[in-house]
Order: sequence, then structure tokens, then C-alpha cells
Amino acid sequence: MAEQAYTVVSDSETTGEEKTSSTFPEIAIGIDIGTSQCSVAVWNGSQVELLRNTRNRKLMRSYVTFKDEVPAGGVSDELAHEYDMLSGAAIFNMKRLIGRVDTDPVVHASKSLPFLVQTLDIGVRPFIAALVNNMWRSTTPEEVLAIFLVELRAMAEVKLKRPVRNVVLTIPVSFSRFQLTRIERACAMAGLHVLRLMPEPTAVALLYAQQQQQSSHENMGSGSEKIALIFNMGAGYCDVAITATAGGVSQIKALAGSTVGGEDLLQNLMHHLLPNMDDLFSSHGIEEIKRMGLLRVATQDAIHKLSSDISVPINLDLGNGTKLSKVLDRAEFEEVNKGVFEKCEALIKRCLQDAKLEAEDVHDVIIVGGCSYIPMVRNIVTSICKRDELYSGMNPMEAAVRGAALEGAVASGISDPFGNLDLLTIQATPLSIGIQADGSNFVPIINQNTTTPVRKEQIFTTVHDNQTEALILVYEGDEKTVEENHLLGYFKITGIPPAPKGVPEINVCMDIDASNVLRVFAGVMLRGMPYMEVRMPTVDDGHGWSAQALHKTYGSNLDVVTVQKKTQH
Amino acid sequence: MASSSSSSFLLSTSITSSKLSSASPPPCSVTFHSRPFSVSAAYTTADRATTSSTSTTSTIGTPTSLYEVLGIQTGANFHEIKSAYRKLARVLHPDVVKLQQNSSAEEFIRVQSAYATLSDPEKRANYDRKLFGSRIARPVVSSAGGRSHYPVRRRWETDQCW
Repeated sequence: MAEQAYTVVSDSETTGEEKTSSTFPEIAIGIDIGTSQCSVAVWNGSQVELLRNTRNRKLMRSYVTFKDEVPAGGVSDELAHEYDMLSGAAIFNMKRLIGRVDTDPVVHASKSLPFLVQTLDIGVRPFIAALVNNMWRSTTPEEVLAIFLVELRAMAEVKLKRPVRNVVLTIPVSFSRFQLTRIERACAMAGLHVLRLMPEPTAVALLYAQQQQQSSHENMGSGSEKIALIFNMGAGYCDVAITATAGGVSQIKALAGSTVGGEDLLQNLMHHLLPNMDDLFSSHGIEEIKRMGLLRVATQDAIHKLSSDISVPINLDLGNGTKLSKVLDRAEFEEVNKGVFEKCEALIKRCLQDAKLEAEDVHDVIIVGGCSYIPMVRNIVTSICKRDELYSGMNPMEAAVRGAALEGAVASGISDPFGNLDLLTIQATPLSIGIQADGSNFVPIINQNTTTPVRKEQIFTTVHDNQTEALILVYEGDEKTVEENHLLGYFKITGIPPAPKGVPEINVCMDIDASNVLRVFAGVMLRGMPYMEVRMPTVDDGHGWSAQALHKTYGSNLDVVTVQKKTQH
Repeated sequence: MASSSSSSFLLSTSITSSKLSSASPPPCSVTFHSRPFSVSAAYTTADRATTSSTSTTSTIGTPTSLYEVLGIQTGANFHEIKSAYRKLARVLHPDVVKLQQNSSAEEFIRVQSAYATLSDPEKRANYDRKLFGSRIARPVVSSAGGRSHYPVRRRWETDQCW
């Protein structure tokens, strides 16, 4: 086969015909790993091109099948039928599972998947396993993702006839920084270097910026500014972004995201069709898995059909005497998923509010992702944004990966003689980052929707007299108390000179660079006292546990409180 | 097939990054650029740049007002502010200037901070009051008697924590 031709060569070792890779910087490829589907695109010198696999597909299913010792992913593999993915041997939805602990509701919702997701509900990583030769073989979302990325990389190397190392990956807005480290880990396992992890709607925003620039070759830098609202809903996540675009510069004004997507629609409908589904399938026996697969495929088909039809008949024999026969109409589907749609609505409203904009201020409303075909989703978006028409210049399934490929080219330092790459995304932080202070309050230092790169700082002080040490617990999120936010990491400041409480000044500074790397600096404001620098403070596992253990051991002994900003004198 | 051979390489045993380190960079080196950075210098840049011309932190001539940071007239309208910001972003954003990472992030942050104040009507009004309060008010104050400008300027400085 043609694939045999590819070998991973080192940078110095070029095969003669491809001089481009050595004389020019390597162009990073864009990868969109979706919960359900994935795609790869690259700047080919004049435009963005989606890479096709050996079966000539641009969109590939995101799954890995474990058979004996050799796993096969959806890049090269072709399923004889959808049921093959549901035999228990295939792991999918890894994007929903990655970097989550077993107390997470999303992990619990994944228990109805055909492969094994087991939880102990104590805040550690869940047990995930694929059925191989009637045995549950354990794996991790990172491993599954890495296997999948290795296949993608191999495919891209064959197509591009060069080694592929640098990538721009799109990620959901709601991903925590811990989840980002898991994605990076998976990429490293697959031998890929992450140039950027780009929130999906911001990748779409970059594509939009390019389209706007191409359509108006006017004076750049000034020109008319256009506000776009981007709504992206796939199988696993829903994201909203608002961007201000002019002269090829896309500035992200606000981001909002949630773990809600097509998978939730599917599960809600499955539970609606078969209310005792969880009991029937909880044992994960071979027969149960098969039945679950039948139900899943039938439900998925029904949802797809309801995008164009008003009603759809469902006839399903689950084999054990359970038969389903009914006509499902669109209204019923919408009623069952009312909660999901309400969440989508709330996200758009919040994003507009955060951007300090009214629906009327938005010039273009862009809707992308697999769920963009669902009439109710379109209704929600058009009604909140008060318009009849949505932006039509993009393929909803390809927009994100195209944007990622553009960012890949821009971030690799590639320039285009026709100015098609005179683009820039000015990113913003999707979640606030701060520390625990004033008891168990979360005190943000870098607020949500702050433009990056950024550096912010705040002064804290001690809570006890003669307190010589202070504990800095770094959290991410937008809830008021730390328990509801995500613990990123912690460290201790020592050497605080003995003084009455409230006197020592502890400076905590946070810095996010253009590659979205977070650093936390903290120290006592005294000449000659060294500061602590902690890069991307990361707890590896057991997030809830570490915080509990710290609290148990130290109580409030090492706490800090905020210093009120002096407004007088 | 090439793809399956590389995947079996990954899966045949448990995956450890050390096993793969010859073929791939270790996870840490992937994104953690190290660039020299000093907290004490950073934490005062914005304030000093705008309140006192004797700042020592900046490498280039230090602008004395946020308007100068963006290179615009003090009476610039919203549109001009935005367009100036965008023009500077195209030059100073670290994605554009990769060779001098160190300075570009600093400068972009300063431009961003100026823009954040001037593009918000309320913050701009506050800023203008303090900026012009201390400049234009000079003759008024001197005629009114020996009232110091410092309280005004100090208050602004502490407000502008970024």
C-alpha cells in the first residue's frame, strides 16, 4: 500500500524531493478531535486543505477498537456497521472522559456507554475498559486519545510526505487547565508537539476573520469592525464565543462553554424510550451490551431524521422480550431535551452579557458543529440573537478544523504573499483563575474573559499573628467558593517575617503567555526575599483529596486574606 | 501498514512517556517556554508608565499617558482607539513577534491595558479626570491656593491595579 512509503525522518534527514521542510518552518497542522468525529487540516501554501484518509473521508469517527494486542482507530479502520463500534471493544467519547474524576456527573452519565466506565465515587480517575476476548482490558482516555493521534499523525505524514510534529488542537471552552494537561500528555505520547490549544469557537472566529478580510480589501487596521457570535455544539460540548473582527484581527470578547451536547440529547432520548435502561444495562454482560448498542443506534438514527422530518417511527426488538414501537415526533424530542436546550440558551445569553453587548450589536451569527442541524438549536440561536438568517459562509462540520489550520500556519510564522495569513487571534481566558483566600472563598486574580497574554497580581496578607508561612491554593473556575471550582495546584510561601496579622504583604502574581501557559509567582514583599515561581501548578490526581488533606492537616493556620484596595490617601 | 505498526508500538506495553521520549519531546518542554521575567519589575509597569515619567522598568521611551501608549491624541474617539489598538496588536502580539518574545509580551500587555481603560467609557472618564485633573487643573489650583495634586494622582494609581 501507499502508506509503506512513509518513514519518520529526523529534521536533518531529508529525502531530496522535499526541501520545504528544512528550509522553511514546519507548518503546524490543525486537528479537531471531536467527541464523535475528527478531522485534520493544513495550510497548503495557498489555502486550507482538509486531509482525507485512505478511504477518502475528511471526517473520521473518533474511537479506538481494542482487538487482541493491536488496537485500531477510526482513522484507518472502517466499520462494517455502526454496531461494531458498540460491541464493547471500542472506546469512544474520550473527549468527554478525559481529565475527569469519578465523582463527575459527566463520567456517571458515561456509564451507559457499551464499554466499561466504573466509578468508586471518591474523586479519583474512573476505571475504563474495553471488551477484548471476553475480558475487560483497562485503558485510560489519554491512552485512547494517544493511539488515535498516532493514527492521525501517520495519515497526515503520508498525505503531506513529511514528518508531522507541530499541531494546533481545538478544545472545548469549558475544559479546565487540568484537562488541557491531559490533552498535552496524549499528544506527547503520540509524538506531537502542541503549538496551541485553541477553544473551538475561537478557531471558527479566526476563519471568520479571514473570510471578512478577503471579502473587504479595504484599509486594514481600521475598516469596519464586525461582531460575530459563534455557537458551536457538537456531540460532547457546547461553546459560545463573541468576537470583534476587523482587518484580520479577531479579538475574543467573551467565551462561555458547558459539557452539554449531542450525547446528552441521545442519552435523554434513550432514557425516554426505555425508562429502566440503566437497570437493564448496568451488568454490562455481552447480551446487554448488544441491546444497548441496538437502542443507541436506533435513537441516534431517530435524532438525525428528526432534523428533517417532523416525526419518525421507531421499531426496535431488543431480543429479551422488550420491544419498542412508537412514533416519535419533534415536539416530543424537544420536550425530553428541554433542559439541554435551556442550557444552550443560558450560555448564549451569558456570553452576550459578558461581552457587554445586545443581540442587536451582533453583525453575524455563526452556528457550527454536529448539533447545528437540529431545528430547535437553530431556533434558539436565531431567536436570542433576534434575526432570521444565520451566517452561511462556513461548513459547520469543517469550520473549527479550518480555523485551527490557519492558526497553525500563523503561529508557525508562515506568511502568504496574498495576505491570506495576515491574521491574528487575540485570545481571552475562558475561566477565572485565582486563589483560596478569606476562608474558603475563591478570589480571582485573572478574571474570566481577560485578554491574553496577561499578567495580574494582588496583595494578600496573613490571618494570624506571627504567621511565618502561607499556603497558596490555585483554583480555576467561576464559582464563589473554592469547593465548586477546580483545584489546579498549591504551594507554600515561607520566611514571612514575624508580625501582627494583616501586616505582611504577600504578592501573588499570575501570568499567562501567548501559548496559554500559566505561571504563578508569589512571595513576601521584602527586599531580598526570593519569590516562588510555579509553572502551571498541577495536581496529578485526586483533586478533591489534596484540598481535603491540606485542610485536615493545616486548618486555617496557613490561610491568607485579601488586602482591601486602598482607595484613600 | 504504517499506521497500525506505530499504534502497536504504543500499545504493546503500557504507555510511558519515557519510552517515547526518543521520538517525542517530553510533555513539559512542549509549551513551557522559559523567558526571563521579574515580578518586581512587572508589577509596577502600568502604574509607573502612566503616573511617573521616571519609570525604570521600560526598555524604550516610557509613554506618560495611556494615550501615548496607543499613540493617539487625547481627544481620540472610540473608533480611533480601537483602530490604534488593532494596529499595535498586529505588530506587538507575541504571535506576530516570535523572535523577541520577552519584550513583545510586555509591550502587548501594556497596550492591552491601555486599551482596556480607554475603550471603556466609564474607566476612560475616570482616567481622563485624573490625567487632566493634574495637568489642566494646575493654574486653577495655584490660583486657589497651595492644594497638592498628590491625593488625586495617588488615588488613580491605586485604582489602576491590573
